[in-house]
Amino acid sequence: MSDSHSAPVGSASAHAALEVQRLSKSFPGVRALRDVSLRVRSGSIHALVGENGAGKSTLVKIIAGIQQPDAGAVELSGRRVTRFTPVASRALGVGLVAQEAEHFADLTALENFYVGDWERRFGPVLDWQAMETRARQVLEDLGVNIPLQARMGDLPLAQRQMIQIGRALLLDARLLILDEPTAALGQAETDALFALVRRLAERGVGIIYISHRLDEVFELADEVTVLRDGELVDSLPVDGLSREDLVRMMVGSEVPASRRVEGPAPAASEAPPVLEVVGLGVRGQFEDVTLSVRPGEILGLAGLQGSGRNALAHALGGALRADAGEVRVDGATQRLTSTNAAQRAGIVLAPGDRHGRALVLPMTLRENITLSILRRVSRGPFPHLPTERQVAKRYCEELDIRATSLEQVTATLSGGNQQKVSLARRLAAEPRVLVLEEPTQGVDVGARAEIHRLLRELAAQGLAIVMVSSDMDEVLALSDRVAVMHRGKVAGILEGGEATKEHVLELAFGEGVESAASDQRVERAPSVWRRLLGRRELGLALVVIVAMVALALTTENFRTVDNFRDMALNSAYILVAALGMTMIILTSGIDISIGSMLALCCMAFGVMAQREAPIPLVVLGTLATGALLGAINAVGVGLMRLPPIIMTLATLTIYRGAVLRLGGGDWIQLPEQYLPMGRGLVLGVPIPVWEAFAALAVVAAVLRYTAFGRSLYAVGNNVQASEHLGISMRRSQLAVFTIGGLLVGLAALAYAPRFDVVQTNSGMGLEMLVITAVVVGGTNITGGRGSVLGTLLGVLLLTLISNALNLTQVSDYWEKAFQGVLVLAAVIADHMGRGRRVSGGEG
Amino acid sequence: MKETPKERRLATPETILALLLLLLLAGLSVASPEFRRPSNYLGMTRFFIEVGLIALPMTLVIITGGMDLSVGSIVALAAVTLGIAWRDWHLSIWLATALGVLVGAVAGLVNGALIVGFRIPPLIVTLATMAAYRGLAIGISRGDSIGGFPNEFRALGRGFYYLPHGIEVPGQLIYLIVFALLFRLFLARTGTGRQVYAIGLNETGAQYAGVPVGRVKLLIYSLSGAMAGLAGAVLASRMSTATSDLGLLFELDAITACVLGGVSIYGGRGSILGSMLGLCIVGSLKRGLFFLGVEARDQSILIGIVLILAVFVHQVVVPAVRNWRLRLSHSKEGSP
Repeated sequence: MSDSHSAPVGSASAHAALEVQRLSKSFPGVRALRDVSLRVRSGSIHALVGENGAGKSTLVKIIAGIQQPDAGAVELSGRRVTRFTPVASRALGVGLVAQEAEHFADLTALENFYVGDWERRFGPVLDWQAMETRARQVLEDLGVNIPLQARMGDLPLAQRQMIQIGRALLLDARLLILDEPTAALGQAETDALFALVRRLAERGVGIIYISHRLDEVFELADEVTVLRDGELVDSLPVDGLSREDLVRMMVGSEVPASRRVEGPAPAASEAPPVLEVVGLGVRGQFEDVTLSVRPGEILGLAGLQGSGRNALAHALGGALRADAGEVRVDGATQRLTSTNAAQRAGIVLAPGDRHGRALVLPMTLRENITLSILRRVSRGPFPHLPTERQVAKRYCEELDIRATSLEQVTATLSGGNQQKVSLARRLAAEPRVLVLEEPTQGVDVGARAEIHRLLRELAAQGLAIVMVSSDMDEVLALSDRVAVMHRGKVAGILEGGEATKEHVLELAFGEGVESAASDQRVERAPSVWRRLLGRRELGLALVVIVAMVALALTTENFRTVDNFRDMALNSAYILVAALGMTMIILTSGIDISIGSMLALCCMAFGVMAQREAPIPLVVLGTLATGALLGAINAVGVGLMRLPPIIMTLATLTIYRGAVLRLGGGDWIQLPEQYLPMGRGLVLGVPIPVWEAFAALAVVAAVLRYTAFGRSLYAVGNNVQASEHLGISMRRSQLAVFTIGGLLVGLAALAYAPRFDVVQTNSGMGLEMLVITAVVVGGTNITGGRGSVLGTLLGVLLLTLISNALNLTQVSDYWEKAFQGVLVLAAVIADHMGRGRRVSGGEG
Repeated sequence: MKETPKERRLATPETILALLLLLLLAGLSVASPEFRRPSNYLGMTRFFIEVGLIALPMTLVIITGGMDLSVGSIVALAAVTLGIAWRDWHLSIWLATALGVLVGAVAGLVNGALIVGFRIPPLIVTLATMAAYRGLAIGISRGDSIGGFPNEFRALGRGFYYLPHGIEVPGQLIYLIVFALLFRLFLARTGTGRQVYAIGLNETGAQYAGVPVGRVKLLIYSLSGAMAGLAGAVLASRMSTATSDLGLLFELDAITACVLGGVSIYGGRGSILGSMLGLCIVGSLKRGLFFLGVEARDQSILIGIVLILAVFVHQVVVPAVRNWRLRLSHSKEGSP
């Protein structure tokens, strides 16, 4: 590290890898960071610790350019960061291995290394060989073995993480940020990771290591920085620091065991429990949870993110379906199949995420409060306004909600008042058990105290409360008992007196029960379906071959050369258009105007041909027309931000109108000399078929071998991650819609000269045909996955089907119906293959 | 909130649309003598009632954040079913009409079931069923057109009611008004209507509030199918024939009317009154252009452009202004 000729003044090691000065950041209602400074030396491992909400993630996100600071400065290797964007930070040598790995599930492991930073051979052409060689080198260096051609989504989390680390190394990161990297790793993987991190540090990389596991801090780090409530507590060397000291710094000097919010004592501790949970489990989230809550009692649920505490709350509220155990309310077993069912059983969940789940923010106060009890405030089917007002008013007064009127839009309230509205709605349902998730997240101090007092009062009135919070002080201050969860299990239930912060943290971090058996819950074997669909092209090719053989055996006319030539001609222009559609659907777009576009391009062709323009000019003109029409769609979608379906629905009619206008409602006769373009043979194969194959080859090459092609897949897979890597959705859509138009122009060249006349109704229904072919070919309708080969097979299959319907004299009246059903079947098959993800769960 | 309730009520999209409609009517009346014939104002509604019947449930569908592209095909399917039931199965014409509406409702229910059951985007489902239902209509009718309906059936699409002073009101205008009032009642006054908005504004939030999201969607898509079926019957009566190419591009006109009427394609916002005003604007524009000698093809170009502009203004410009004002009021509130 001593060659200094590249550094401006002194050597690079004179600078810290990271220098953060007085960074501040606020979100509406919260100060996430206040005046935080931090220095990470090159070659050191710097642990960053603090409780949930202490500001660690915000700090790291600013360093990685994902969020912008309100005040303060960041220097990376001595260079001041001026623009906080992910791309700029990356360029300055920051590598972030995020908690929720930002990966592209449908790309290969190798591609995940390189998205946005491709190595090129020449021009836009990617150098896969060089990339693979370097990636292998890095992986070898890391001492791990990952199949580079595997689909990223099929790899276990540990390997996905390794790839992210490897990616940072490839880009020559000077500062590597690891955000709770071991949360999902087993012991052996953790050891390997540690060895790797040490080696990187030896090479001079600065490392920020965020972890909740204090043992890891002592084992790995040179220095540690403690954050609390968005402020810096201290930065100091790990040597000589005791575990107790560190915990005390995280917790704060006043240990708040005695800082309980004083409320009336629980009504009757001998009363039978109102809520009993026995052996409850949700696969992949938590298992074997048994606990009970009495009326008037507040049970706190503590644990780390991912411990299953939030999932448990959601299961109790009916938002997540349990697959083991049972829940009893007042002794009666209840089936909590939906939030509705839970509410009827007397359990109501107030979820944490105010914007997404807890409220419908654009609705008024009154509407939000009565949304769950509409039937109760209605006369017949009609909500009765005075009754609604009365209910809303009562709860507004009871909870002291400050608003100008009951008709104020909830979004315009402060965070604290919004939280109270959420509570009001739940209380209006008159529950026996109230399940709260993060009741004071993003709420200012005053409102927080008020909500705490409220909860105590509610308990005193006999309500049973289950509360999940990542705020330890809150859990300790409010709970009569605390159930601590660790890796999907209840690690212990602490009675009032025993519930100290140290005790809870110990259980939450799982001392002694390390490497629990629930490790495997993270990984899920890829389903048989997915594996089958992974080879969709293969299956499809088989279907095409079987269909051909069957047709050849049963119908004589099928076997003729003429019939094959006809089929090829009939599918050539469809294939060309389908290639463009494939690219558009890959980026989550859709273009239903291509039929009209084709007609308009044919018209342009006809008009030019009528004037006897030279053939090259006609070709260029037709292609240009297509590109122009596509560009109009591109502007609507990419620049005006209209939904693709609306934009192209509009241009569908506009273009068709233009066709009728150009053609004067009539057809155009094509002069003789242009017809060979559609009928001529080269080497026995019609020219349009050659054109289709040329287009196929070019599009396949672009999708496979260029940075542009691969970034289309990336955008369709994960828009947010793509934007973080500097790949813009809008720019991609601008490009694909224009290219789609260009290809429709080419399709017109393969279509128009086959006939003597250009008709105004050409291309009617083409969009359906093409979308069917693309979807049948395995391209995911919501983007990100698909192939040109699949599209080719899809087109072939459709052609065969229509040919069979013709030859076997099944009336072609049914063809259109068949297409629609085929698309639906393909989409449904695709959907089932992807499997369903559990909704709810960890926020 | 600095505006008083009164100011807010005056500045609704509906008032602006109503003004726009009046301006348009005035302009067209000045430009075209045929347009300003007294009988035209009510008479021309005959030409866009069918689309209006479809735009009513479309409003609900779009408010939930969905879209129904299959309605035009359901129009044809229902009309063809009606025709065949009457001609080939010898059902009475009214029983056949009921069957057509029922087929429409079932077609809508299938849409809803696919959307809710498989969680496939409504656009994709209805794009596919748009082809499937049209294909079904072609298939069962074998491309035939069925005509010669009995006289009493003509009442549905060609009948008149008379107001005092001999003012002629097309029969179907009455139906549209009745249905519009019913839909308005449903959307603005019932609990389910409230839930429709909640779903569009925040589906997850609605789900957590115990709103039966799936059931509401099933209901709405079924309604959409049933109303398209009814529109098919009215159209068949007005045209005196039932063929499989009825209702082509009706989905475009209905969506244009809704979006022009202020229904947000991202869901959560819109009203029946707005959609009906949007419908009148699109309808009278088309009719006026017809009188001015603008051909159908150019009308459709114009409608396409109107759709693009309407979406752009409603979805991009208006929210941008709203956000800007919200942020302004927030920053004032936030600073101590």
